[in-house]
Amino acid sequence: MSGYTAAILTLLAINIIAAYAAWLPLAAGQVNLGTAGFMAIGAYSSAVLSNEFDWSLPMAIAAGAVCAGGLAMAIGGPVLRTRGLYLALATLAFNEVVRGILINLDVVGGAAGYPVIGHLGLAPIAACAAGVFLLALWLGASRLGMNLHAIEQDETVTALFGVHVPFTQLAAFTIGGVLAGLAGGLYGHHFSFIEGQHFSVLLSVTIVLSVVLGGTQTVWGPAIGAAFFTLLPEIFRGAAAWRYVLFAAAVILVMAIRPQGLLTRADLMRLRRVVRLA
Amino acid sequence: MIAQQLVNGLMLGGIYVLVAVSFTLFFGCLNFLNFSVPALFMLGGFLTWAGVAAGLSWPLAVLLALTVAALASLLVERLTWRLQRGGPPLIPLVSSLGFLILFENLVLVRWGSDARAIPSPFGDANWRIGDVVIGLPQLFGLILSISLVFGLQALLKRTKLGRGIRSLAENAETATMLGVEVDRVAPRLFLLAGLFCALAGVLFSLSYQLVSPYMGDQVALKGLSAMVLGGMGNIWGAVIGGLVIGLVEIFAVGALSADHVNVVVFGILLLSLIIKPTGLFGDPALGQQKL
Amino acid sequence: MSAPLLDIRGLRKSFGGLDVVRGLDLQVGQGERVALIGPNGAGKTTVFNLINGYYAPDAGEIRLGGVDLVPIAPRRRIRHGLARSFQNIRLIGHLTVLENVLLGAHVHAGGPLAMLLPLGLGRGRRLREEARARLAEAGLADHAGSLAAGLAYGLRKRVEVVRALMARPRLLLLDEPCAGLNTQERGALLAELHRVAEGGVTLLVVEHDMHFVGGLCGRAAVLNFGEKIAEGTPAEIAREPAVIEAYLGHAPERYAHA
Ligand SMILES: Nc1ncnc2c1ncn2[C@@H]1O[C@H](COP(=O)(O)OP(=O)(O)O)[C@@H](O)[C@H]1O
Ligand SMILES: [Mg+2]
Repeated sequence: MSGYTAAILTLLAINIIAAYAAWLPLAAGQVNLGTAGFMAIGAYSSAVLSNEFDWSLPMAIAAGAVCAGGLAMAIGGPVLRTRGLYLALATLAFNEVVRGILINLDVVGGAAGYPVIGHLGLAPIAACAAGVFLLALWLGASRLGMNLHAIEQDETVTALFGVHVPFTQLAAFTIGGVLAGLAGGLYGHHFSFIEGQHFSVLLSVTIVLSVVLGGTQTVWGPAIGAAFFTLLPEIFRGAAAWRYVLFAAAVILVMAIRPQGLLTRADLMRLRRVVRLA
Repeated sequence: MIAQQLVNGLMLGGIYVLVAVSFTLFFGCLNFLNFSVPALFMLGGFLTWAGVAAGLSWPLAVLLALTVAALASLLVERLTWRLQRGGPPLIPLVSSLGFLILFENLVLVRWGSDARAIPSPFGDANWRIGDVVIGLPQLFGLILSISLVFGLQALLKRTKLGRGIRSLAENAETATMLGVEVDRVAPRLFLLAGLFCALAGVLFSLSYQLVSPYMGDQVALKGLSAMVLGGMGNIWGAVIGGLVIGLVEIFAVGALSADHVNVVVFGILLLSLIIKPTGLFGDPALGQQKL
Repeated sequence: MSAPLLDIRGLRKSFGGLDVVRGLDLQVGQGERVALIGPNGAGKTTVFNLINGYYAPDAGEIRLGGVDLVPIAPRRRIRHGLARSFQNIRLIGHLTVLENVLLGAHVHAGGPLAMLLPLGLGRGRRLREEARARLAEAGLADHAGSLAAGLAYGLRKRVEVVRALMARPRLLLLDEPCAGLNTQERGALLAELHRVAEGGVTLLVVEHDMHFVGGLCGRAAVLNFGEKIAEGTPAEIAREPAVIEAYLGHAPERYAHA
């Protein structure tokens, strides 16, 4: 495999993990515009642990993911008690606060960025992505997954059947935070350099858009969306700006024609039937 | 020093007021968190520069920029809100994020990502009162934005369109039953709110003489904070929120550094969402659903 | 008679000056099948919404098995044995029928950790069997794997009833369960509800089909403009002049001497 292919595949693996981070709250109708902020927490805390405290990479990255998850829980608790759109705003604010702090934090290089010493190649990152996918499959088949979908479509009725809606959403948001932290930790230890600017709201937005593009109804949607977003520039080898133009146009178009995204649950069931007949 | 900061803060706040009012019109009337607002702001400011750079006169360039932004806002109405009306509010929000990225990158494709200096038609005109310097373009901007809000208030109170908009704000469903033609009122609302933020973009470029494809992001995020602080859906709340955020920003620059502004402003947004999400003057019943 | 299972006293609710429920008293005994009838807009659905907590009453008490429901959060009321179906179907469209029915059993699924288990594992296994059995009983077994959104209206209406039953309620509130069902489906639903009632579930049913009400309920209360204007057996109710007036909108002169 050429170095180029490996680089694309690594990026794809990281984007897939980030997509699942955004998917869990999205499945319940909650837009998390702070995914990049949680990635930054994971990236910086794991980098500090491996750089300064000589933690092993798996331990450092896992700890980074836990930090991000803990922060998600702390923020999600109060915010999720309010109505849906507020979470989008609060997470967006969170993202900007995190980025602002990191840019001003001299112990991790401030605006100049922070070199990361330990290095991870494609294989362990791909393994993590596969693990996250399996976790998503598991959660998608669980009662939590079912309740999330139910909340997304009809919060009121779901609550009347006894589901604790804020708690369920908090669980999804927290697990999402952990996954985002994991994606951030892997990112830092692969590219050997992190800077606050990278983890912008724009990154959070593109992650959310790619998940919604793929579709939130099935476990496959986020992976499809992440692949679409990551591989698009490889298909159209043009300027980065064109990539975003095409991506954004695709999102707008898909939302207009079928707001459930590219792959719906009904598609998946139809597909299964076809496969079974063949 | 403090007086100067007060003046600067209010001037900057004048810009945020328009953006916050734009956000709050969309949110209060349509329950739509419209993230294309930063792009419309940018179109207003950036295309003014593009027009002037292409040799157009100032008024013509501004007119052109506002027209394009208004058309863009109508496009957003067609492809987001109108299609998904009554559905989950998530989808229009997502589409509007798509439009944000689309418009910014279209400008990027054509003109590149560099920030461009734009000469002010007023030169460096300013007033001095003692030690305090008041930039005339900025003052003009502040006065214009407050007058526009008064105009908006009158429009909402007195005109048929205003009544239509207000009954939309009550409830789109009952508005339809009351004979308000939602499909006619909504585009006008998009036009109005779109023009508000595009005009903010124009004023920003006149006052600060710098435009870029991303100029809308930071300003609009602060407009968003202003809206939340003032109470989502409340127009005068947005005005107060905008001025407060402008002041906070200028004082934060003075007390800490320019780099810390975002931490302070968005920290306030985050805290106010956590502590009192309805803001200072918000309507807690907004967005309630019927069984 | 011992204390009624559902005991509503002096219930009031208004929306922005419009008095929708005006001092309603209603008692439903354990194991009873009661109909709540009345013209459109009488406030029947609002009464249901008050019972299950979607709206807070302006005044009055709602007791279920002696427990005052009013201070209890809507989400917790199902644990006191209260479940309902909705007038305008509220199934989760992109979940399967089986999953929708399992949502009804949420309160029996266990604690937070059990939420993390796939649906068919652990305690969920028995729930899934129960759900399949109930669907089969209702004649819906063939549809268990279909998405709820793709089902015909009558079928979705029936699934709602099964979903509510999965909560194993003491009191089942059904809001116009027959609306949109054909004669055959109504017959099947009637048989099912008889079975349910024999299993000890108390029924409070809003329904316009008086034939259905007569076949199911021993007693009916009539609501008009938020007030109870009559109560009795369905046959008595049908003869009550006030009721006929409420439905026709004028005094039943022609029937007065009949
Ligand atoms: N949330 C609400 N806000 C305002 N009015 C309501 C609301 N819910 C119900 N109503 C009004 O209450 C009255 C009774 O409604 P409802 O209980 O649905 O009647 P029914 O079920 O008997 O047909 C109607 O006039 C309806 O418009
Ligand atoms: Mg009703």
